[in-house]
Amino acid sequence: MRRGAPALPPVTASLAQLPLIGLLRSASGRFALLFTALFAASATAAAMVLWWNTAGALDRQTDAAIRADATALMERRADAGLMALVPAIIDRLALDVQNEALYLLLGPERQILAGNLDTWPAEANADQPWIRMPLLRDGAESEARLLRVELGDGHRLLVGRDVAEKLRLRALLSEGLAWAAASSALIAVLGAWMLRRALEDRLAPVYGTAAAIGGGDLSRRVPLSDRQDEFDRLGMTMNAMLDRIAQLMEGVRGVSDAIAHDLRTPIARARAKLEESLDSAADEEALRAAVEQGIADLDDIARVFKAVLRIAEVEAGARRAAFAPLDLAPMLADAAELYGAAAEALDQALTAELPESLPLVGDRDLLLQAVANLLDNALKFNPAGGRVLIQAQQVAGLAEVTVADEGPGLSPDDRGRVGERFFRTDAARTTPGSGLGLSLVRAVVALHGGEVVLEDTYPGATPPGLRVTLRLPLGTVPEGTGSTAA
Amino acid sequence: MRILLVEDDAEVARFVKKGLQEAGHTVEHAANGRDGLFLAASEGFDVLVLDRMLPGGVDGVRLVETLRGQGNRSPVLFLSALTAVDERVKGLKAGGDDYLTKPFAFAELLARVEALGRRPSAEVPTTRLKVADLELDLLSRTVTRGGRKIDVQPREFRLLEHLMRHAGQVVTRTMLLEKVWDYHFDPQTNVIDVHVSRLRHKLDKGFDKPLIQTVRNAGYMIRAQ
Amino acid sequence: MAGMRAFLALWLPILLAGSAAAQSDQPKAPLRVTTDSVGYCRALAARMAELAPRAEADRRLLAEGRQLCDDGHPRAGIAKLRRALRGAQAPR
Repeated sequence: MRRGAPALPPVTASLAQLPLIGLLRSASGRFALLFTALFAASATAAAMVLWWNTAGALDRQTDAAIRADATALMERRADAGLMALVPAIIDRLALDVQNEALYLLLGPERQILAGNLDTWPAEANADQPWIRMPLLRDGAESEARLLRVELGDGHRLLVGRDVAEKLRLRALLSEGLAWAAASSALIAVLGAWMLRRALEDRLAPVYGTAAAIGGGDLSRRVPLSDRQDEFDRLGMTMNAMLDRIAQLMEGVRGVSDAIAHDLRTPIARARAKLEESLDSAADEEALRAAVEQGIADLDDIARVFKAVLRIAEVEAGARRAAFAPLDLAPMLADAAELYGAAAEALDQALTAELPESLPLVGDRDLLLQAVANLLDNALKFNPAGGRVLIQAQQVAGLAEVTVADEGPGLSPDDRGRVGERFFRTDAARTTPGSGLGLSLVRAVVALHGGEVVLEDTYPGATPPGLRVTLRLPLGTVPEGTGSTAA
Repeated sequence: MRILLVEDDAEVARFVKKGLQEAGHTVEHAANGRDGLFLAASEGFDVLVLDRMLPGGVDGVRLVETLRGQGNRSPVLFLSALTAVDERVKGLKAGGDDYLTKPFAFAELLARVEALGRRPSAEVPTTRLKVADLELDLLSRTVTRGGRKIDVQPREFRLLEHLMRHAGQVVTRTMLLEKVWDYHFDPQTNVIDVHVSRLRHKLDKGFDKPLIQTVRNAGYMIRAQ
Repeated sequence: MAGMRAFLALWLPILLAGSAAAQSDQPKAPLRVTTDSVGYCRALAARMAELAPRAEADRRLLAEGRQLCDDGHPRAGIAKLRRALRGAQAPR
């Protein structure tokens, strides 16, 4: 939280200079603006509906009354002739208790025949029959709504109403709306501010963590609330990413450790041997033998190097793209056949117990290499006359591949270390290469989302033998690696 | 054979060139991809040996893609210090025919170059392979020597077929693992030797002349003496 | 602060447009009503008197209306007289 703070002041500073642009640059500002805009739009819509239903209705009511009055007068004229309009207008004026009726009947010479308006307004000559005029009554300003009716023979009639009362109502309404607008504006601003604050508050831990990571502190993680919302999901995703990065970094560190341990020692050994033979080789034959030994040593070093790189590659998970459906059964049968002959040559017996078919989604080359490493190990540690069993079966959504030998096995301590970081374990092993072999097996199985189980072949016996079981999920590509941690 | 070697490391190039010349081949060397592409496009070579990573903007993969785009079908062997599993696939996909990781034994390189240079053309299907008095029928999948039928297992049949297709050439253990078993890694146990000696035992039993020879520090070869 | 400005930026045009529309047809010479005069009041009173209202309420309205007009409140007087006229005519 506190580390997130330095990221905020620049935003506020630019806000002070360019309010709208600064606001638009920050996502939370844009959300807040959007919120304000939506709020304003809905408030405006509400005001418009209200206006239409009140002030608008009053106007329409007035117009309807005027139209009805004019129609009645026209009927009168049709019944009794043009001149009957004069007493009709006088009667209407006499009975106008509300004091709002306006009439003006004009003769052909523009002389006023009846009505209560002083002149015929110029505006009434327009095309539009409906007009709106200012009105003076006793020095008080008001407004008139008038309808012009052409009577023929140069006679014209204005029928109208004084709408002062309606104007007063409309003013009241406007005032009310203005107050409503002001308060909703206040709410909108408050809401936008709160929204922005909330967004920034929720994002601050993410900023803070990212800044700390950027600064080199890889141990930092985004603190999570227990709301399980989008921000927590963002944080969780970030944390998962950071875990993965940390894991890869550790892998890189592991590779350098492994290079130091697995390569420096044999290089030193080979170098010493060559130097020694250079100084003391008796004849050319001895020198040749020493060079050949040197080449063989280098080949071993290259092999270890390759294995270390392969393990790192597998642990990084880069190989998951090569996953494809495959059948384990014929693959294992091939491996058993390939190693069977070698077992016989070593006076051992390799037995395969395999099903007809064992379909799986995975990486053929890596799985083969894993099984080959197990078989290599088994043959290497088995005593003469020993047996090696390779077995595979499907157990509840898992493919179980077992390689069991009758060798010295692994002590419980060593087993634990096999489950740790790969290169550390082989430090405990005296036979070079074998520890790396198991490490690769572990990495390959982890890549497939499975686990490696190490047991005694014959518990309690001496030697107990080693029984390695690979439990591989059959189905889809796994989400993450490292499920062997348990 | 005329061989083009494109390799930027002078020491490796000198070593490989010398070895190939001693084996009786003509070798042209280019130190970068651009020169290599120029040479490969202007002259005919039986085999191209290309470093996977080359200076000068044109790396091995680009070079092969360009050549293949021009219709050049010369077989290509990639040399690479990249060990990632996908690199081999990438190299082969680009049009390479074989892939060898550095460091390598020269014998391995020579065997692979010669195998590529004298590759039997795929257009003429062979149904019978013959070396001395040993015959292999690809249709009936039978092996006879001196008219006598020899029982072999399917895998041994394929092993023998591969050796006979490259009769007179050295075939390394790694090549056999790759071509016969489709294994692209080196097992620590010497599994191939056992299989070859079994096969040899079956073939040579009751005959004077051994057909499969072991080539020291390299691999195996089948040939009529 | 920024929110407030943004709000005003959104609302001001609406408010201004609204008031401008209300004032657009204003600058015209105003009409005058001729029926707010004392003369008209007298004419109405005469017309009422002609009708000779029988109802007590109508008669009182006529008297009050006439009084108001004489006192210089023609509009109030006219309103009373009109009510009286309406009352007198209603039964017919």
